[in-house]
Amino acid sequence: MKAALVVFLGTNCEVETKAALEACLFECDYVDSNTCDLLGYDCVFLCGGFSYGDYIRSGRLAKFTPVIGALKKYIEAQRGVVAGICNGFQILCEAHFLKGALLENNSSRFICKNTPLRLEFSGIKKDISLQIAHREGKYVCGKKDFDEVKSMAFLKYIDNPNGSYFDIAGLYDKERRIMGLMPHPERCFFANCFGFDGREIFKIIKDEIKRG
Amino acid sequence: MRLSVDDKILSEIKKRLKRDLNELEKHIFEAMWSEHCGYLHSKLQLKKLNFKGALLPFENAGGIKIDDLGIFFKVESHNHPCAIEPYQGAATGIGGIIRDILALNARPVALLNSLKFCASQKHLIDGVTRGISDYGNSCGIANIGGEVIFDECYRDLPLVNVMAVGIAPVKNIKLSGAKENLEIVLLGSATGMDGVGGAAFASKELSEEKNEEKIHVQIGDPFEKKKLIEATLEILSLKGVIACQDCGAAGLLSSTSEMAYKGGCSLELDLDKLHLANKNMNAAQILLSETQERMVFALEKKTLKKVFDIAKKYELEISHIGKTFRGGDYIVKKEGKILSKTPLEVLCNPFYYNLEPIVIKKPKNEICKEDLDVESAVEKLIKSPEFASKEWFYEQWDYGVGGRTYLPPGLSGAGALKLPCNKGFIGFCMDTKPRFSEIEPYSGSCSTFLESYRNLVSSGFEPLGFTNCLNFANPENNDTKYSFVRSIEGLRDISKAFDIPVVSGNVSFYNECAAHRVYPSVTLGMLGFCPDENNLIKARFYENNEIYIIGKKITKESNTGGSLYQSVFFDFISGMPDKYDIELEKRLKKTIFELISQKKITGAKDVSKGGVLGSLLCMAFDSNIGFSAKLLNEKTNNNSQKLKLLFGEIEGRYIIATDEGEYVEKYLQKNNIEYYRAGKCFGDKIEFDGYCFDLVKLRNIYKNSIKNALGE
Repeated sequence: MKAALVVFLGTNCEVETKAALEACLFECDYVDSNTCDLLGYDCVFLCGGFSYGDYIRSGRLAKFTPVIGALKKYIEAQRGVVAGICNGFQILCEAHFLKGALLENNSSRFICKNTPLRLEFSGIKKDISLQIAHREGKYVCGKKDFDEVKSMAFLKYIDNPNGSYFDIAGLYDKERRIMGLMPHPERCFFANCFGFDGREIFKIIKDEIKRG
Repeated sequence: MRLSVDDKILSEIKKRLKRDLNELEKHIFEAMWSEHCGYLHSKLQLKKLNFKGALLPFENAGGIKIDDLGIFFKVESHNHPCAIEPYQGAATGIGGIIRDILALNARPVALLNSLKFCASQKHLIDGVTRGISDYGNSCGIANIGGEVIFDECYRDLPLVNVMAVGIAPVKNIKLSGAKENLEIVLLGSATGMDGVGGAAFASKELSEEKNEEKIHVQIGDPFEKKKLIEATLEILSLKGVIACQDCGAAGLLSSTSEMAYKGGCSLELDLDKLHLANKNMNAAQILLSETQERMVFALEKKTLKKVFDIAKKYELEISHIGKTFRGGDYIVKKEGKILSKTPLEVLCNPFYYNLEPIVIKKPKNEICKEDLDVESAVEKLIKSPEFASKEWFYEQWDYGVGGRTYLPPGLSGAGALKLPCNKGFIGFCMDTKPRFSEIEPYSGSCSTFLESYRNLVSSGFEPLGFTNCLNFANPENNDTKYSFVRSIEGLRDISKAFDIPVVSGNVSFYNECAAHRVYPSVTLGMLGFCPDENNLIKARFYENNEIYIIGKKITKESNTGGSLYQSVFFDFISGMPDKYDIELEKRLKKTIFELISQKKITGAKDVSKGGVLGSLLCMAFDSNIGFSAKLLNEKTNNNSQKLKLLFGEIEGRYIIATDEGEYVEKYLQKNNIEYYRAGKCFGDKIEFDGYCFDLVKLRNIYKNSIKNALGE
């Protein structure tokens, strides 16, 4: 399976995301923000980091790059799975591929820690621990979307660290082809000290690609 | 701009140049011969240090070779800027130290901080913490550890020492010396008025007129830095790129002149060629601007285009600003005219002071008359911000980015990174013992070294090398002279005794204001190596562990001067510090490593702040498991003696936790290591010698006391 990892200027989690994907037997390419065609890939990853310094607000500037147009085509063609981790999730929301927005944490501070989460995804239901690392991770959405969003949340904080509505840490779209999550599964993949629960997320993505 | 070159120095410059200086040259020399750039008061002392075994100790940063990799690390102080503008001060401190590592063609992979505050100065604590958070996190460099110390002596004089770590295959390293017939290129942010004269600013005491100082504080841009890191590494991989320097203190002037001086050639700068943020800048301002996020390269002409293309790819500005040729002069041109031509030999060789001390400071030996019962003491200790959990700090700093972190902050005595290609693990810690150095600077340095050494050993790392940041008051003052010289001699001797070299360093003087000065603050950052992930040891208890204290035994007669408890309980430091035993330290290391490799140790920690009880409490709180122990092995009903035995800090002790007590005891006996079985870990009570505390209650205080102190 082939994965594209989109690297914007300021993206900084691409190396470990690639390592995790390769451990899951993906063939990976880095693509930059000028990429116009993603149709050759089975999945597209928007990695964590601070695209364009997160200036104005997180994900705001990345939204205006050509690769977002390519992503739109990719989604419309129902080609494969799109996953956004942390800054990637922020970009997916900013570009309206996913509902809602990510605002500054209630504490107004950056939070980096392993945090307990409940994962619920097509029959899978388990508690896992993943690392969060963000300052703008409070998930919010408009009232009219409350019910829909609740049904699309696949990852929820057990001990809400940032004030996210409905404890939402991860969300997919109606078609379940676009997934966004604030925690970093790629960080909980290799080292004992952070655990290995990130593998659950990559497994889900792989299963979704196979589902076709 | 005010000039602070004094008459003595000015006449020395004139004598060496054999002529008078023009206005521009006065500015040039003021910066190059400042304490910050020229190390006027420290250079001759620093030569005493032991560099044997270090890799490139006189480059932008030095390191240690592990396999075919160079592990580079260095600390930088940003104390003066943080006192004025804590957010930008801390951010640009990180920015600066990253560039030092980057200039060697080493990818910066980790940061650590040693911060010192006065606990009631919330704005400084908050600003510095956010500055590190916003800048370091955005650059994508993991912040894997460090320390935070609180003391009244840091009121208005916060110390912000940041360390960066970089890794590069030794064969790829680029040096800072240019050679003849190269082109000089400046990459990164447009040069502006920010930070003009910063080097001179950092070389004097802070005055009351803080408004006037504002202009000297540089402004950081982490996004620009992230691009600069990637572009620089790509540029330095080109064959035709010969040398690189970062623009730090005294900006373009210092970086380009050092490049030429080290390379033994002339360098000519054409200031009209620079990309500027402010078109009306004069020559002195352009040369001295400390605008952040800039790197200078010396390269062959045929490589220019490739370098410009890389800059374009990363959306960075770049300009071709000069050249090198045969000779030994530093030449500045603007509007077609040569404004200054000075021999590099004079420019880069300032006047050095010989700091031999004339007074010998005697340690205070007053006895504390106050008293405290053990119950109140325990609570007082865990409430004190210096002892309390530093979670509030390190959770704001991204310690997981990069996928290399194998021990995050707070888990053991050191932070750990995985080396590429399964070449093992490196561990780092940062330590300062200002109260010990205040009492006796020579042994204070040695004790700090041993603290770092034991932090690494208890986490499973073989210590290999260290860097230092020496934060002192005004070097013209006799007390400071004495403590500075003796601190260095302590570092020299202990480093030789263990054959662990200094790889790099930094000095910050003038950490004083009208009212007071800081304690001598010798901050060390030490590197260790561990080949196997299974041998990384955490400072954790597990249910039913048996607890042993190994090494030196504390008695009523022990010297515990400088211990944290004196300061926290009685606001007092006095007495003599304990004497260390080098042979014992080496034997303890050997024993611990053997037990680790036999898989007999499940958790370990050195006995440090808060003595044996303090260290046990830390482990219990962090593991969320109680213990029952016997710690007062000498009969005493006297409270102050109890406090000494429980909280006193002496050298040469570790706590080890094991599931195989019997085996461990036999092993320790066989190897002639003094030990005692302190107790067992279980449940939710902390019990020792008839005292009993509720784990959850104490742990909550320990976890939240910093947050509470900051009113969050």
